Order: sequence, then C-alpha cells, then structure tokens
Amino acid sequence: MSARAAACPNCGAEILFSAGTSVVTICPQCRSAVARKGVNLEAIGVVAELVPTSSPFKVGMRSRGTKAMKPFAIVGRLQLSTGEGTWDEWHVAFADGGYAWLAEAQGGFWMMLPLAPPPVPEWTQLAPGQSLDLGAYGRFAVAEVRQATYVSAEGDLPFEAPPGSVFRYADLSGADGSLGTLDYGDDPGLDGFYVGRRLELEELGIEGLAAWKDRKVAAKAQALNCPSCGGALELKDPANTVRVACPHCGSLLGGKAGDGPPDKFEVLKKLSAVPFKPAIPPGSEGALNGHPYTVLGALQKSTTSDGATYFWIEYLLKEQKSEAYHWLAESNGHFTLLEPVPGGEVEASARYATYKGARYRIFSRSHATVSAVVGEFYWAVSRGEATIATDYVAPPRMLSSESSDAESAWTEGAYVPRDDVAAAFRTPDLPVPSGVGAAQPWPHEGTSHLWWRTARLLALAAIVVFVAAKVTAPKKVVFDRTYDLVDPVRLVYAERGTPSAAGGWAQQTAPAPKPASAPGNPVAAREAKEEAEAAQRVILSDPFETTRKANMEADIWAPTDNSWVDVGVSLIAEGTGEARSFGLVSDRYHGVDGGESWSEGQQSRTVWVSRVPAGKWVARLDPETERGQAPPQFRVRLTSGVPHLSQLVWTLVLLFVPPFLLIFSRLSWEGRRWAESDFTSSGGERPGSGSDTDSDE
Amino acid sequence: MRRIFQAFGGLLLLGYAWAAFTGWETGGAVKHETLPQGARNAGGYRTWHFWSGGK
Repeated sequence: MSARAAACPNCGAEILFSAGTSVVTICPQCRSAVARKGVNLEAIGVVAELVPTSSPFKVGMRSRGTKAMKPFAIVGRLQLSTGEGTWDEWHVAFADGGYAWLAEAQGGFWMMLPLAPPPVPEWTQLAPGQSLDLGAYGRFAVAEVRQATYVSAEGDLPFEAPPGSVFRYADLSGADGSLGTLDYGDDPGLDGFYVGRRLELEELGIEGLAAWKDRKVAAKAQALNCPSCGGALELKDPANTVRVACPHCGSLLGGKAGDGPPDKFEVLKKLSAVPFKPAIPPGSEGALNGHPYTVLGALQKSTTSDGATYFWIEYLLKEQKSEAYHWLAESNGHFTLLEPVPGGEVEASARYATYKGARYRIFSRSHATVSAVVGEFYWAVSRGEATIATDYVAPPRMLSSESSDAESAWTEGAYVPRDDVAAAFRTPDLPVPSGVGAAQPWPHEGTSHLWWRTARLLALAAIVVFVAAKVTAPKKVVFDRTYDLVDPVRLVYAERGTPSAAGGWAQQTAPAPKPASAPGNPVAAREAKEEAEAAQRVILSDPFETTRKANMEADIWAPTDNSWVDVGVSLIAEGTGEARSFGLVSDRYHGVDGGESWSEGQQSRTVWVSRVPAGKWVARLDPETERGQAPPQFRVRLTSGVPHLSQLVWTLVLLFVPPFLLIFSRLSWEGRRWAESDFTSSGGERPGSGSDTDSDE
Repeated sequence: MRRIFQAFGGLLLLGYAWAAFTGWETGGAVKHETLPQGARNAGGYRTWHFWSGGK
C-alpha cells in the first residue's frame, strides 16, 4: 500500500489516499469525493451522511491474516441503496497492491475479488434464475438483477463515480457455493466481475471485533411499545429487523428515514385488528431436528386458481446458534422446514430440479401473494408482495424457488410432522393435517424393506419345514385297488382279481335288505328295490394298516369318456368304529361345439384326508355312475403321509400378502399426494390444473 | 404394524409347521362314528352290511 496525503480541493482539509488502489477518497471534513487524476485532484461531488448499519467493520481496521486470508486493511466504505434496503461494501486493500470488496450477505461475510470480466449478456438481458456459463469461471445462476444508488461513502474507493450514481449489477450464485457479481456500472457494458466465497468472522482475522460480538449478544432482544396501539413488543432480532407487524393491532411499523433497521419504529400503515392469528405466535421458541429456533414472524400467502383462493402460512425462523434465517411452511396442517440454499447449486428444468445429487419432481407452481403479516422481518415486507413460487418434491424433502422480477431465491428442507412442531413450540392447537402433504413421506417409507425381509425369511423357513416334512413323511401306499364293472345293468363293480370279479360278485356284497314298506304300495316298492340295488353296489375292502398318524392322499382314476363315476369312500377304523367319509369323482367330457372343440372334467382327482390315526382300516366304496355310460373300471389309491405342496404355497401367499398390501398402500398414498398437485407424478402439467404462471414463462 | 406382521408371520409359520408334521388338512372328509352293530357283527364290517341304504 502506498499512502498519499493531500489537501481537499474543496475545503483544504487534509485528505489521505491510503492505498495504491484508491482512486477516490472522501474528505472527512466536507464529505467531498476527491478523485486523483494523475498529479491533480478533483472534487467530483459530495456524499450524503452515512446511514447507520449493523455492520461490524470500520474503516481503518486491519487483518493480521489467517490461513484463509492474507493480511489486509479496510480503507474505504461504500454505501448503496436499492430503495428497499441500504448496505455497506467495504474496500479492502492488500499489501501486495490488490484490492477486494468485503460484504455481508446471507448471514455470512464474503470477500469478493476482482477477476477479468468474462463475456456476458447485457444487463437488460439478464433475468433472475437464468443460468450463465462463464467459461473457465464455471456456471452461475443469476440470483438478483437490480440497480443501486451510490448514497454515501467514507475513506477510499477504487473507482471514480460521482455520488448519486446509479449502478446496475447482477448477483450470481455459483455451483460450488461461491457468489459472483457482475458490475455494469451505469452503462450496458460490463465494468467489473467479482467472485468470492463465504468466510466466518474468525477467518477474516480482523482485530477489535470482540466488542461487536458483545453488541450482538446484547441486541438479541429489545422491548418497545407499538406506537399505534401501545401494546408491548419484544423484538427477537432487533439488529436486523426492518419491519414489524404488531401482533396486537396489526399495524405495520418501520423506519421512515432509512431502509435498514431503524432506531425508532414508526407507524407505516395503521390497522385496527390483527389480519390473521398464526397458530405459532411470533416470539415462540423451540427446537426442531435438534436446532433451537425463534419464531420471528409469519406471512400468510395466497394464490388463486380456477377462481378459488388457497392460503398457506410461512413462519420466519431464526436459528439461534448460526443466526441463519429458516422458514417453516404450513399448508393444510402439513409443515416443511426450509433453509436457503445457493441457487447456483440447483439445476432446474421444466419437470425436475437437482440439488446436491438429489432429484426433485415439480409439484406446484403459482403466483404467491403476501396476504397478511404478523411479527418482525429483516426486509421491508409489505402486503401484496408477489412472487412466483415453485415447489419440487422428493419426499420427505422439498426444494422451493421464489422468484420476482428482480431476484430468485431457493430453499430446501424436509417435512416435519405436526406433532413435532406442536411439541417444539408448545402449541397443541396447530391445524390438523388433511390429505397427503406435498413432501409428506409415506408412513412405511423407512420400514417397508423390513416387511419384505421378514416375509422372505419366513418363506425360507416355510420351505425348510416343507423339505423336512417331506424327508420324514412315510409317504406309504396303503391301499391300491382297481375295480371292474361286472354288472353293467345294475352298475355293480368288483375288485379285480377276486372271485366276485369273475362272476361271483354277489358273494362279496351283502344280501339285499328286506323291503320296509308294504308290497301293495308301488312307490314304496320301487324305492325299496332301488335301495336294495344300491346296497348291492357297495364294496367293502380287505383291512389295511396305517403305521403313523398322518394325512392321507386319496386318488381316483377311471377311463371316463363323456361319462362319470362318483365313488363315496368311507375309511372305517376297525378298532374304534370311527369313520372318515369323502367322495372321489372321475368325470371327463369333451366334444365340438360350433366348430370349437371343448373338454371339461378330469379322469383323475385327489382328495386329502386330515390326520388319519395309525391302525387297521376298512374302506367302504359306494360307486355311482350312469347306466349305459359307466366306465369299465376305476382305481382307488390311498397314500399315508404325503406332504401337501398346496399348504406351502398358501403359506407363502399369505406371508407375502402384507408386503404386497404395502405396495397398494404406497400407490394410494402417492395418488392422494399428486391429486393435490398442478402436475402429474411424471412432471407433466395436469390438464386444467390452474397453474397460473403460463403467461410468465 | 411391522411387529404385528412379524407376529402374524411367525404364527403362520408355526401353524404351517404343525400342519405339515401332523398331517392336518382342510375339508376333504367328514369324520363320524359308525353304528355299533357293524362292529358287533360276526363278520365285522366286511360281512355285515350295516350301510344298507347308505343311511
């Protein structure tokens, strides 16, 4: 740094150009801006009085240097105003002759270094949200396009411009978290390009800032009375509060003189009643996700679609440790906690947005208007403030953008259950959630895989049980007989290989019972005859034995061909007289109908008999068939102890029913979520959704 | 809910194992007692047609 002392050309007081990069210095006596032009000095205007701000820096402060920053001195201060706010930018001179701008933004400190300007569009061609490829500097998103007035200054400035000049600029957000500024000055062409990164106060290494920390602590709360209604107000963020909407009378308070935090709040708009009562009162404190928050204020926003107006609430929170501003949005009883993210780290397309590798699907886009405000705010909030709000979701996370003509801002966060919010702020009367929230996670999101894992493990165990049962089961054929039709007229069958099958069948069957009715009654006589014939068809088997209590597989086969045979089977325990009765049917029909061949029925069928005890058994068979169509034979086989595959199949089906129900639950949940969206779940715009921003895009 | 499903699945597995090893089946056969005359008949069930008329 090379200092040069001189006399003010306006008042003659001593002025000092304290750095080689100093082009203009402000006379501390008469506030003239004095430019050095070669060896001559020229007064190019007079700056206004400095507006008090909450900045911790002062001209003359020095940094001893840190690992993050080489030593520097603060040699000047530029004060700019957009009409909505006034802020400082500090001219920093390095020992090597370089300079930078030190600014305070987004709750942090930014050292903006001048770089060679890249080719960029003219200022009038820029729009918030626009993506700019700055070549070797990387890709940046336009966060803000504004013009600001050079209001005041002190110390040295590295440029020559008369006080009151209007500067056009665009603030950029880089993909790596950096910030950029395109400085267009007062003409269409680019005058300067600055890129910086965020630094903590400690990383700057500036001496003498301990007192500033104390001041911030002391300014964490400030009590005052509403100048409109006299109600007691307690500001939780007095160092940054620009507007207060009185929670007692609703009047909007702020400073009339400046745009920064005022020394004295005056009534800007008088109201007689609070426009709305937020469920979480401003001033409430509570911890969400382990972070302590203070509720500063609440905005009621609205949008109109298809003639209907929809409202939601956005609470402005201040994280107590980092002092960063977050948002708690509430819509239909669903809460989402959001924090600002650099726009340069977001890539947005028509259907999706990507942030830190995660992809979010577009959910809604609307014109959002501030309908009412309550509490304190760090900007000059006003009713009617309008933005285009776009929400992208990847439940439970949400990515939102709000853009206006001048700026674009992104926030990202996650769904917070209503009960968590109620517990955090001790407000049990929060709205009850209705429907499915935009970012509300499906209740089984984190556990559905465990359902499937449980089903798989149990299914594996069931298969093991089946294999073990199959290995240990006797699977023994205890009865296998074939019966031939020996009397086609009376439909009598006899066991193959026995004398009865060779013509002496009557020996096997019992004698016909005597008719029970009077011979003179023809109906009774016919019934008695039929009964006697039926009794003669009954076959009793030789005894057979089962060695273990087990199930029994009973099979029948018959060469049925457009015919049928129905065998009533009774297994009779010789020892106890206990019987088990069931039917075995063989039937098969086929033909051609209208040129189409058809068939139905089965020649063989199986019946399963439950838990047949060990012991000696007799099988009683009672075959019935159709005269003239009787199959020439049928075969009955009984197998003891056969693991039943269908039981395993049913077990597996039942095991997987609940996990499959979860799939339907998920589909239903997503259907209800996207029914509330302006877009389909694939990102397409829903016909007649009423998304009311088409004309703006 | 997941605990309920685990309990349901466990009971289902136990039920299946019991059915598989004891031979339990659903339906298929009607269990009943035979008439005592059948057992008392000299030829037992094979020779005394106690089922006359299927009753």
